[in-house]
Formats: sequence, C-alpha cells, structure tokens
Amino acid sequence: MKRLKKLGGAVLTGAVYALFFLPAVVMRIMYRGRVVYIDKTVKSTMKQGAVLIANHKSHADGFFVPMMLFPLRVCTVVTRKWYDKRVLNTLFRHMPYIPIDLTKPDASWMTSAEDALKQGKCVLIFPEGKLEKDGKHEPFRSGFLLPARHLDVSVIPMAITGDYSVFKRQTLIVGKPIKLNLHERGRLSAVLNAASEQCEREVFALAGEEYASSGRNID
Amino acid sequence: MICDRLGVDPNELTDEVPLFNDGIELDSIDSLEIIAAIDEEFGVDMTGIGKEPFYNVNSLAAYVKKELACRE
Repeated sequence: MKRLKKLGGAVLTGAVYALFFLPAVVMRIMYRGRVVYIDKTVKSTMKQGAVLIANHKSHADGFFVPMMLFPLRVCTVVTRKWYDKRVLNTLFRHMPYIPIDLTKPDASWMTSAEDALKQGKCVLIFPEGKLEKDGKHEPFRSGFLLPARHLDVSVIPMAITGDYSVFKRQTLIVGKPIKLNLHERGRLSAVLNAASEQCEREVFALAGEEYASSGRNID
Repeated sequence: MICDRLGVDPNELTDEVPLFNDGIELDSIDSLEIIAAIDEEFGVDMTGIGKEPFYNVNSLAAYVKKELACRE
C-alpha cells in the first residue's frame, strides 16, 4: 500500500511537471521568452529557496515566470479573487499556487510560503498586490518580506519586460539577491517599509524604468 | 511577545491601550505578525476573524483563552 502511494505521488509529480513543461516550451516559442541573469551565481541561491519579487503588468506574469524558470520549483502567490474563480481554481489547486486574501489579515499564505521555502522551493510574489495601471507602479506592500525575515532566506528582484505580443521578445531579468537588514532594531513596520522601498527601487531599476514612488513619499 | 516581535517600546504598551489607530499605531503588517506569533506560541489560528480581538492586549488574550478553553 505504501509503495502504491509512493508510486501515485511520483506519477502525480511527473504529471504536474509535464503540465508545466509543455506550456514552458510554448511560452519560449510564442513569446520568444528568455531569462537574463545579471549574475549567474544567483541560480545556486534560488536552488536553496528564495523569495522572488517582480513587477506586475499582466495576469500572464504568474504563469510566465514559473515557466521561464522551469525546472526550478516556484510557488506563486495569487490573490483569492483569482484563485477562487471556478475554472481557474481546478488549475490553481493542482499547481504550485498559494492563495492570499488581500481583503483581510490573512496569514495562511505565509504558512504555505514558509513551508515551500523550507523545502527549498522559491516563492514568487508580486509585491504591488495588483496590476500596474497605465504604466504607473503601485507601491510595494511590505508583507512579502515577512517569510524572508522569519526564515532568513534571500530576496531576489526580477523584472518582466515586454507586453506578451506573440512572437515579440518577452524577457525575465533576474537580479542579484538584495542585501536587506530585516532584523534591524525598531518598529517592525518601519523596518519592513524601508526594506520594501529598497526592493521596489531595485525591481524597477532592473526593468530599466525610472523609479517612481507612486505617491508614497510625495506630499 | 508584541514588544519582541513588533519592536514596540514596552513603556508604550499596556493591557488596555488600543493596538491600532489612536493607540500604538500598529498596521496591517503588524497584525500579520501577531497572527503568526499567536499561531506559533499557542497554536491558535486567527486568520480571517474580525477586528475586535485585535483591539488591545486584553482582547487578544481573551480570544486566545477562549479558543484554548474550547479545545479542552
């Protein structure tokens, strides 16, 4: 019985990988997807588990990034608004996606994210919490730093460039781990907000876009 | 626990002082950390519950006590 369960688990894992493999190939061909590493040594950091953060311009981002990083194991944090949609829910439940409810204090995503990180997986978070509108960035919500603080894992900035036009270049730029002091003395929210602003600057610098604070520091 | 995890000055925190708004001005990140800390320390999951238990230390303690009592 144990053997059968083990075999079943292996078959399921294989099926999930196959489900990722085919779209990954399609992504690379259709969108001419490519990954650019600023420093290739980041790959070994990613294999140990890390929090990946990126700008968020399209709903396709949540599929594009894990597929471009395949076979690296990436769990993507997705809002309940999308996770609970009838057809998508079947997909999300069987794929490595972590639901988050942004309408109320929800710590369940943190437990799931931390479990994944402990297993050496990467957790992809879009810290803007929603899509950028009219090219205007949303300020980062600093909650994405909590799992990194709890487990002392690296935070790796990434930038997605391109507009998902078929046969036009879609690029994922992977930066170096951000040096953060998340255990600095002082109020937690102040420490995380400062670190979050630093992450925001690094992500948009990678994207080659001028850092705009979206009003956070503007009177 | 709140002082350690949230970096709150122990002189500012009493059992009655409101944790948010006019009190010691915690924010949503702090509330996530409180939920995680209470889950770790007492095994009580506060995800998705209303705002009332987060009003002050007394209300938090009362909620945790009530949950633990329900299990016995």
